[in-house]
Parts: sequence; structure tokens; C-alpha cells
Amino acid sequence: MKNFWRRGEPFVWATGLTLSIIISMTALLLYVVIINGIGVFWPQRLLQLNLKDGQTQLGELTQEELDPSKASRLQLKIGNRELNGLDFTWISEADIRSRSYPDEVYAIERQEYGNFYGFLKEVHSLEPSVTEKDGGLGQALARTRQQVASLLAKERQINSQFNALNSAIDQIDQQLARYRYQQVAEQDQQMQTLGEQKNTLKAQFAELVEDGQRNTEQLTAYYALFQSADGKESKVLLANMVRLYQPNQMGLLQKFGHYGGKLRELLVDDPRESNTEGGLFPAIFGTVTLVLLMSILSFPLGVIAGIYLREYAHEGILVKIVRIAVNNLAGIPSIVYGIFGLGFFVYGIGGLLDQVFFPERLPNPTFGTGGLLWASLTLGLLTIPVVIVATKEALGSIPPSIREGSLALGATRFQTLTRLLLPMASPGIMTGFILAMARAAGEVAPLMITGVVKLAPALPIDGQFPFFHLNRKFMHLGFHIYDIGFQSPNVEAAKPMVYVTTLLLILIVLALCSLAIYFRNTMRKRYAIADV
Amino acid sequence: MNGMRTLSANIAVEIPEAPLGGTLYRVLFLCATVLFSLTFILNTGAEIIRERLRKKYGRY
Repeated sequence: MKNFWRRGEPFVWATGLTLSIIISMTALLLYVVIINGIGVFWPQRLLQLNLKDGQTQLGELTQEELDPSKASRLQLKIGNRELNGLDFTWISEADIRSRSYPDEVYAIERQEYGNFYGFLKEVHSLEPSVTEKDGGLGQALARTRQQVASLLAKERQINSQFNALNSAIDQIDQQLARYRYQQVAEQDQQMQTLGEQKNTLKAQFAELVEDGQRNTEQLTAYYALFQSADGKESKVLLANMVRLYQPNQMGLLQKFGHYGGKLRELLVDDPRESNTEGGLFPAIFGTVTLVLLMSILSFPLGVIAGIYLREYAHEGILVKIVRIAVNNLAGIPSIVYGIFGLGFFVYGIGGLLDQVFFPERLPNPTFGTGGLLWASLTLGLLTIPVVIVATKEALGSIPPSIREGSLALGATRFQTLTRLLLPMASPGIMTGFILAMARAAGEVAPLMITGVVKLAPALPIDGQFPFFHLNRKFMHLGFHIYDIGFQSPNVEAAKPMVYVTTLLLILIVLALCSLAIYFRNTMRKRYAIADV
Repeated sequence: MNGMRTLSANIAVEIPEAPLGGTLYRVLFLCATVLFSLTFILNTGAEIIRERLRKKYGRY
């Protein structure tokens, strides 16, 4: 028995067990997210339930509760929000008389009111309307949708012109405000020309508004009449249809096509329906821009500080204090960084910038409010300790013989540093960088108070001068999860989107880290210590 | 097993409503300071222990 304890066999087992528990927990987390997230876009068959009291319900089967002690029940996503008021309903198994999957049923994704499930009755367009008696309803609908597509394209074009004009007028207004602030006389030449320019733009604007209204009116002529399972009719404008499909008729290939289309929408489109539907492009863009900007701001600072601490600073009380401070920085709750960012960056530096450069716009803040720049600076501060520690460790792990050899050959300390030590330490520094990036991508709390919003009107980088609008607010995947998961008015409908967003966030962090790991591996190959 | 309200959650929830320079704003900054000092004391303690261990058992 004594021998048993002396050998420490159980401890070896315990270490293995702990490791396997950690790995299985990670696997479980990924499993839950992937299982819930990956099936969201797969077109579900529409189930029709004939109830014993004569009612019919139609919808996607979302949950089934098989409870042996109580009556089991199932949850149906019935959509048709304008008729039912609710998207989901629970139906007790005991009330169901029969189940069926009607072939001709349509599922429609709409711009508003969520999904519609029902049967097509009439199609109205500029041509004589087609009703059920005439037959060929499906073809008529497809034909009409093609006609509408050109009108919708025109609407999009008008909208983009609209935005361009709006920003042009905005710029003139700002210029005018600047002149007024500098007390340039109203009769001044520059003021006059600007005023004229503004007036011509305004005339164009009015024309465009009229154009847009005409287009919208034309669009109202195209609509389809649908009947829900319980016989109520609903008019759906073709302009409001985002996607139309007949899930009970789809083959496997079509289902894959549908899935691909939804995936594409997720990656490149804007969100709609208070973020619970549509794409995530602004959030993806915001997350990636934030992380990259954060890296550019924090990485050089961290590396330089690490080099100084390791190579130049003499071990003493001051270095000890600095080391304690760095380790402290790594341990502070991120919300404290957020508060610091708000007080120092946003209200402090931002407010100062506003007073110096944009006094004519006050009290409307330009930099004195949350924005991409402040958020990335805050995150940079949060990740600097990680980079510093990694740099120090990487430099420390280089054998002293290399340093001494280089100095013996007549190189200065600086030459040794830049030509030998830094290249050799670069893989280790990159490791710290990867850790820092992963931490920054997952951090939400400090962003909430330094510039993230639910729905950003414009991207932080776009085609308008000066292209980088670092003072703009932005969207972020992590905050998106929090927002639609816990703040959404329609929590049940938002649940699938929460999982999809989570999965996407994991994938993006993974992609960013793999990129960094790839760079690290090429560096490691180039400056392999073993070869020296 | 009740839900609880930590200092950090308190700050995160209330700061969007706090106007610049108002009482709530300053109270939340106080919260942040308290949180900071707590972690600072803990971390410094841990750091001192680490320093001692390092001295005792050589480098690293």
C-alpha cells in the first residue's frame, strides 16, 4: 500500500482524467452550438394538424415534448403573425385527429410580420389577375415575381442615390456650419455658391422622392392572395416577399439550394425584423474590423514594452512594480476597461477633439461618443498585457549563448536585437498575439459602453471620403448574440438566430486565429532555433 | 440558487442610461474603482506569493 502511494499512480490517472474532462467539455460546447445552429436554414416540411375541435393548424414542427406523466405536446411555428398575433403555439397530442403534409402549401419569408404559411389563391398584377379556377397559379406567380424584380432593382437604385444625395447635402451643411462658426458673412462668395449647390441638390432630392413614390405605388399593384390553414385570407405584396418556397415538394437538391441561399444571405445581407432574420454582414464586418484595428494599435506597443522590460531594463524595484502592474492589467475585469474607455477615450479625448476640430457641430458629438476607434483602443489596452508577457517569455527562452556569440562578433546590442533575437522570438510573440486576438474577439462588455449598437446605419469603412469613418458606431457578433437572445421582443423566433450567430462568431475567431497560426508556422520554419 | 447582481453586471446594465457627470455616472465610476481595487489587491497578493516562490525555487 505504501508503495502504491509512493509511485503516485492515482495522480497520473487524475491528471489524465482532468484533461479528458476539459476536452469533453469543449467538445460538448461545440456540439451544442453546432447541432442547434447548423440545421436552422434547412427547409422544414410543413405539418398540417386537424384538431378534434375542427380547427386546423399549419406550420413547422419546432419541438416535441414527450412527457409520460402528463400529456405530451408539440410546438408548432405557425407564422402568419398578422392573423394569429403569435408565431408559435403549443398543441396537445390528445387534441390531434390527423396529421398530413399537404404538397401545395407555400412558405413565404416576408420583409415584415415574419413567415407566412398557406395556400396560394390569386395572383394580381398589371395583367388580368389569375385565380384558382384558371389554373397555372404557380407559373403566374413566378412570372409576376420576375416582373417585380426589375421594379425592386429600381427601388434599390433609387435608395442608394437617395443616400448619396443625403450625405452630399450633409457635407454642405457641415461646411456651412463651419463658415458660420468662423463668422464668415452670409453674403460671402463661398457661402453663396454652397447655398446654390445645396438648392440644386435639394431639387434633385425632391425629384428622387417623387420617383420613389411612383415606384412604390407601382409595386402595390403586384400582390398575391394567400389562404391560411384555417381559411383566413391574407394579401402579400410581392415586393415584401423575400423568399418563396414549397417545402413539402422540394427534393434534396432543392433543399441544398435553399440552404445555400440562406447561408449567402446570412453572410452578405443586412439584418431585418429587429435582427432576428436576414443577414449578419454588418456585424461580421464590425467584428473583423474591430479585431484588426485593435491588433494594429496594441501589438507594436506591447512588443516594444516587452523588449524594453526584458532587454534593457535593469532588475530593480521599478521593474518589479512594472511587472506587478502588467500582471494586474491582465487580471482586471473587462468592464473596468470599458468604464475607463468611456471616461478617458470617449468623454476625455473624444470631447477634446470635438472642441478643437469640430466646434461648429457641438453639442452634437463627433468623436465625443462611442465609436470604432475608441472601442478598439479600449480592447487594445485590454490585450497589451498578454502581448507583453508573451514577448518577455519568448525573448527569455532564447539561449544566452546566441546573445553572447553575437556580441562577441562585434554586433551592437541593437543589431543583436533586430537581426537575431526578434526574428527568433517572433513565433513566441505571435502566440501571444493569437491569445490576445481570441480574447478581444470574444469580449463584449467593454464594447457595450464604448460604441457597439444594435443596428448601425452605416459601415465604418465605405466608399465615401475619407473612407475610414472610425468615429462611427458599429455592430458586433458578440453583442448581437446578447441583443437578440435576451433583449429581443420575440425571443422564441430569435432562438435559432442566436445559435447561428454563436456558430459564426466561433468560426470567425477560429479563422482569424488560424491565419495568425499560419504566419507563426512560416516564421517558425524560417527562424528555427534548432538549426542555429 | 438565486440570480445575483455582481458589481460588473451593475455597471454594464446601468451605464448606458447614465448622463455625463451625473450622480449615477459618478456612482458607477465608484463601482468600477471598487472593482479595480479588489482585483488589484488580489492580484498584487498573488504576485507577491509568486515572487516568493520564485526566489525559493530559483528561476521560473
